[in-house]
Amino acid sequence: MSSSSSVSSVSSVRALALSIAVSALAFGAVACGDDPTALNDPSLGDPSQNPGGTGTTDNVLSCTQAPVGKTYTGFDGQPLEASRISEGTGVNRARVKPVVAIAGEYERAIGKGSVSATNMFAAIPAIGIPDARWFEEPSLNAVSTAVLFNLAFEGCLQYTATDPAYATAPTAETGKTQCTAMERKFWQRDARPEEIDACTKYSTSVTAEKEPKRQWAYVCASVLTAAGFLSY
Amino acid sequence: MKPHTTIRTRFPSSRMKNAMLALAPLAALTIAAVSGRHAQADDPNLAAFNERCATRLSVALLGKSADATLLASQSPQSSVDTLLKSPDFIERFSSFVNAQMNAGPGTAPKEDAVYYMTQFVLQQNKPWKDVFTGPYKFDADAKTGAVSVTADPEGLGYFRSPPWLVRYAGNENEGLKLATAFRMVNNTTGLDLIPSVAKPGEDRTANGRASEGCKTCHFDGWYALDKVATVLSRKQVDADGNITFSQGTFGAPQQILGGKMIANDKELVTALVESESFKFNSCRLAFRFMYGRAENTCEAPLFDQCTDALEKSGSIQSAIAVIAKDKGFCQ
Repeated sequence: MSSSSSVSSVSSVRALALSIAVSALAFGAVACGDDPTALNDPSLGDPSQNPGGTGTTDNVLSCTQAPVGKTYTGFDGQPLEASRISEGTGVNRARVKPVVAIAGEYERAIGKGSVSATNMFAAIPAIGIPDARWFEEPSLNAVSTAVLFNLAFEGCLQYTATDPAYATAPTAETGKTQCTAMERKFWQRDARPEEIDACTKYSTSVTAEKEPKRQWAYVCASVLTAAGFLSY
Repeated sequence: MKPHTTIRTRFPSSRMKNAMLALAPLAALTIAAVSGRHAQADDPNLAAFNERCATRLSVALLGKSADATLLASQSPQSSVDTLLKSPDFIERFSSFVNAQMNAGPGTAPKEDAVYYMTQFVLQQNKPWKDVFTGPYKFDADAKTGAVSVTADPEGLGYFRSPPWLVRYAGNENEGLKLATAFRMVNNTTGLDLIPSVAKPGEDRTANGRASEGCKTCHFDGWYALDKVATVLSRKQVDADGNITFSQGTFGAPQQILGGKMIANDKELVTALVESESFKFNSCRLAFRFMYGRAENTCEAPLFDQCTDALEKSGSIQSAIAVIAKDKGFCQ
């Protein structure tokens, strides 16, 4: 009984972690104004995240000050540029990283060999890879997201195995410190306060898992399964 | 292998988001909790910005994570020209173009003429238009299946390559190559048409194609498919099902492409490649490669820089470089 209870608890932790990661992905999805299919980069409008940026708000997709460009005339005499969508510069651009790139990104984020090549290769059918000489825009679904979370968790167990910072269970304080560090390293940008808060709250909620390093591994995996890491 | 679906052009992330939203009952609560916008603290974090820029460039151009040198670069966009010469870029872009120009992946190398011709043009630093008009020939060895691109004074990019001609010969009863005609116009200008599905007993001959509802695409448009196909060779099928093509054209010269008199495939493709539509489509292709979507209204100035670069240098790499080096790409 206790065994099945433990399994159930750990499953709950994993499900919650996946939900948090999914929420982070969905957060990016809703930061895009009225277009339900557009995914914006949440750092775009924040000058502190974006030294070369314009400082425009990132939840406005439309092109409000259309610049004057050239006219390109088609064979029918009509302007070809009329087919353009009214969107701002550099928006609607977050794309899912190809699986080969994700493998490299795991190495960058949590170290070479953290995710075994064997498991990465085994995950490819679920994630998807184009045929030879072909290109397909990567996309995620429930299965591939779950597979990626499991891969990330495997790698994060290595990542949290030896660092003394992960020897004790997360607290509000250590959770905030480590979440800030992980999000900065994995996402290659400073996380916003609300992103740090969400991660911190999750880190202190992984109580069904008793082993601190595994608790931290769940936190790590949730950050690695968020849009900040999986998209570019 | 993942089954292939329609290539998305505008919204690469929609399926991801749909899946995410369906997966996460807690998402709404979390979103509500975190969706406020606050100015980040005072640190401009240039190092993080450069790292993210390096990753974006590497994944977009090479399809892989950035190496340590690029990640540590103080100005990742200064490496764009080097990245554009790498075999990884040539492979990724050739595959991308192949996927844009074909209905589906080839079952054998000989069916991917576009991939090999693009690869050849990039490797040899030839003008982008050579993919469509260059004096080259793509063919496959009948016995081994080995494919090659060779010099051929009579070549017309991949458009006169035997495997490509067979793949898109079509099934019109008289041997009129409607599918070939569409592919030639589509591949050079981006023309997008939705083919109709034949109904039982429907007249699919020239008379039927001239009827209301059909003639717009077949006889009236600037791309009138029947007229374009008339200046191409005729498809012939022998008793064993082998496909060959006539030496001459199917019919007399035609007035197409907005009033031009065109007599054969070379005149057709030359007119297409010299058009503004070709230039426009080439830079739209470059945007799709870099952003996963077409350019938008606010990006018109950058798009114009792209077409200027393409016109000046002739190379598609220079067009892509304009987009990759623009500060907007790393924002």
